[in-house]
Amino acid sequence: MDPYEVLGVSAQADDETIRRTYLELVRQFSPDSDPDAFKRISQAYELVKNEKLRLEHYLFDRSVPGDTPFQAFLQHSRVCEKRKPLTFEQMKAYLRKCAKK
Amino acid sequence: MTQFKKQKTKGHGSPKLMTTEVLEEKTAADIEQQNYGRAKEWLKELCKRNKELYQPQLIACYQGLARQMLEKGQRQEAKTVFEQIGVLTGRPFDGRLEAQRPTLADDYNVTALAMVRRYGNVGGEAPRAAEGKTLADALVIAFSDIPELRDNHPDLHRELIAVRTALEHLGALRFAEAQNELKAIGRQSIFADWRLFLKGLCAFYTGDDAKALEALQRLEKDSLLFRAARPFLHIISDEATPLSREEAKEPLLIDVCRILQRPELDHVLPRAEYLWRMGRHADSFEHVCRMLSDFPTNEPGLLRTLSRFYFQTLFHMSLSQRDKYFHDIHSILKKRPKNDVANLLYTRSRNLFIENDRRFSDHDLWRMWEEFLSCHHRVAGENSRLCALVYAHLGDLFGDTLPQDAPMHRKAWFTRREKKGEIRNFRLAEEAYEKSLAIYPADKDTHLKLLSLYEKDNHNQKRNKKLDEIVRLFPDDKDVLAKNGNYCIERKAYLKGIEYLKRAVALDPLARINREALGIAYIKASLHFARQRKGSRQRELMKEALELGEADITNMTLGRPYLQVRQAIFESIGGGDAEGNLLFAEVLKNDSQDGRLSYFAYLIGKTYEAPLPVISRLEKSVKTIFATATPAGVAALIDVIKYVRLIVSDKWWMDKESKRLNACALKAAAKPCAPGDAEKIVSYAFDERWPDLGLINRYVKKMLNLDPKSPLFLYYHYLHDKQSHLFPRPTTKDLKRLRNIQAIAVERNERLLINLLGKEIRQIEEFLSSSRYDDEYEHEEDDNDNAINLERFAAEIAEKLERIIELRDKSASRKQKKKAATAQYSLFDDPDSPI
Repeated sequence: MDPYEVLGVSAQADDETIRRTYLELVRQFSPDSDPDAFKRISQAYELVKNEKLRLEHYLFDRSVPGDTPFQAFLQHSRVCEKRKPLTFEQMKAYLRKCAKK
Repeated sequence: MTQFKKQKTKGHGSPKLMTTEVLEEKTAADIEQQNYGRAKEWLKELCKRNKELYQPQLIACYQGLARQMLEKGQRQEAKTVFEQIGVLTGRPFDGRLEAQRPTLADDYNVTALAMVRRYGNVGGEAPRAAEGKTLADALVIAFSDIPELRDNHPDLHRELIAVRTALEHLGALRFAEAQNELKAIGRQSIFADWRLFLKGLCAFYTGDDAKALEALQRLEKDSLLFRAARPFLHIISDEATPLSREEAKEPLLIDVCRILQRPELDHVLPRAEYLWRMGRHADSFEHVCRMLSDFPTNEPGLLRTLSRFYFQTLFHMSLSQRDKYFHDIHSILKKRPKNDVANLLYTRSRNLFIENDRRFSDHDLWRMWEEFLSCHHRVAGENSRLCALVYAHLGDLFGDTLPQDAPMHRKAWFTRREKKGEIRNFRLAEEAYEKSLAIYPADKDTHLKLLSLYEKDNHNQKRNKKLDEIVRLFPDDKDVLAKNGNYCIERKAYLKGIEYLKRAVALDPLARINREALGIAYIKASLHFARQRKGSRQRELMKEALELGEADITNMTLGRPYLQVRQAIFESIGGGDAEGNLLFAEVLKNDSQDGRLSYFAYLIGKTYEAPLPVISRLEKSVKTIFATATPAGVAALIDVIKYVRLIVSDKWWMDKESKRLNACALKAAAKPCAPGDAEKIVSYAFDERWPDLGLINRYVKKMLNLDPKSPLFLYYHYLHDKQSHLFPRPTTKDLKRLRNIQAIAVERNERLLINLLGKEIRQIEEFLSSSRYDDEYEHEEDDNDNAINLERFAAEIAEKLERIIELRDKSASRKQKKKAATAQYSLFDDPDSPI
């Protein structure tokens, strides 16, 4: 996944900001409480922890976030976006739509 | 009716002409087949003959017909049938049917009300399970108050309110409160599924996917709630809601977009996904370009993820797919208004894509990366560090040595293989590195890379100059100190080299490579002083080496027993026979049963040209070890010979040693053998320049007799068969065989083997597809397989002849060498020799 999205920092962030964010995230998602998240965060940090690595990632990264466009979207949502529930009205409309099927 | 009439004229006859018995039989048969349309025609005639007896059956038949019509969505037709039932009964409609009708007509209030009425007043009959769930669904989705429910069924009303309140809490992110509300709903309640659904959603939104998955997957399939839960399940895991073959995926994907609060994508991504899955990759890209004005982009967010997907996916496509996709997206971008970001992304992917494609010259590649830099300059402004990295990357590319294994492209089977170890383009690599350093002189890695380039291509003068420059620029850097130390050792300035290496180790004591380099430096220096008969110097250095050493029996550089063996040999070389013998006796008494230390002493003694009496004495004990060796012992001896071969790859006696070890391994094959030892022996045999296929076959068969489904030995068996074959060109049969082995490896969870097999399978697939691709696109190739085989055969024969000549030359050279028994070899004849 995009390391900036995983860490929640801008691509223009400096070394210090990235390190601070990384340490905060690691405190939040420790290897014991959420090993997957910890691994993801550590890997992302290793890719962008200094300017040279950031530029190398920008220039030479060949990874893809999924096998299909929708998988890429789902991967992005799973890792980078906080899930926000439908409002009561949206949920009402959604359930009624499901009843029609 | 029209249909009935048509059917009637096709052999059923008029009901009026039939007897009552025949009509009854036909009615029963049609009702059994749920053919209510025809059954009602027989019943109408029967009613004319006996209304009292047959009217209830006719009403039931109409009800069945109405239900069928509702299921098919024929609401108008069903309404006519309901009216007919009303005329016949003189009463209002049946409650349940009445309930179904408004559900489909979007009138949730009427539906819920009708269902409540069906279950009557206080103390009325409790609804059955299936009907209860329908009632619960109707009551919830009505989202309105039904006084009759509150008055007649207060328990149901209380639970209904709990569900609604929980839904409200969920929408307002109050997950704990939502869960609390659900406690009011019993497990046996008709709202139990709603409880499960809401629990699943709370877990989903709090990030507990495992719990959400467990709750939502328990919902009854085909129910309203399962339909509602499917997008949530799909978001958690693509495999959680497999679609049936005839089911369209788009509606589910649209729901996923809405659940993820991305309604703007619900008309973009499902279609793009469909096109992608249909293999219309470029169409999918074009669709997204057309529908999303900001796509492609480099700005953070989902669109960048999608941009990365579309521009980087070509690195993971098969050869034929990616060529087509690459050209198609180029055409699409050309048709669109000029967009520098799209151009930048495209140029970057194109450059990475073609950099190993030898159809493009090195100068083309240089020009293309400069094109990227000017595009980047226009989009994001100047960035000297980025420019320096691009040139350093070009230096890496051109300074790379040609691959050890020729690619499995069909052309490669017929053309002369390029010389292994040859640098791709030294001049351009040097120019690229120098340009990179001119832009950003402080990049230590680029300096070191340029140094390595000079080392690889044996430009000693340039290398020395560069190293001096690096030492001046980075005097306290551990990598530079280590480089300089190794360089001094190579120039036989041992003490100076050791000092540099000591400083490098002190800066990073955990850096294994520097510790080993220091160990090697001590050994080389000690040997040098032993030959000069400077015993005290030699002992002093070996003492320091032993302090650096480790107890690890498998480390033949820093392992203390191996250092002690070396010291014993150095004593003998330096003329201290008595001290040497004493040390040998001391260290070899601790040799393990497999005799690895004695064998190491013998081989390393020969390497360091120890006095002949010492070698003869060691050889005697080696002969004893070989005579009684078990497969486990052979495996240990293989470790030793592999290590020593790294030091003396070109000494003629090593081939003799290999043959002796092979013979010993073959003899030991009769004894019991552990799979790990057999693996080591077979893998060693495969690593030989000319593998001993008899030895491989013996151990592979032995292991397959013990475990016929061992994926590793099945794979070795496959490799053995390929090695024995005159034309080892991969075939579809090989592909099938490897896939079967991979399936067994997956069953046994042998990850390394799974990856290895996966890589080989991909290579064969690519080779086979490129063969087809060549046939399709490059008509200059001859399609005649015989011609191919003949050409190939000629190449093979030429290669074999070359080997025979080489062997003969080698044999002659050995004879000469044997004659010159006194002309021993110096370890330092080869400047690249590590020890």
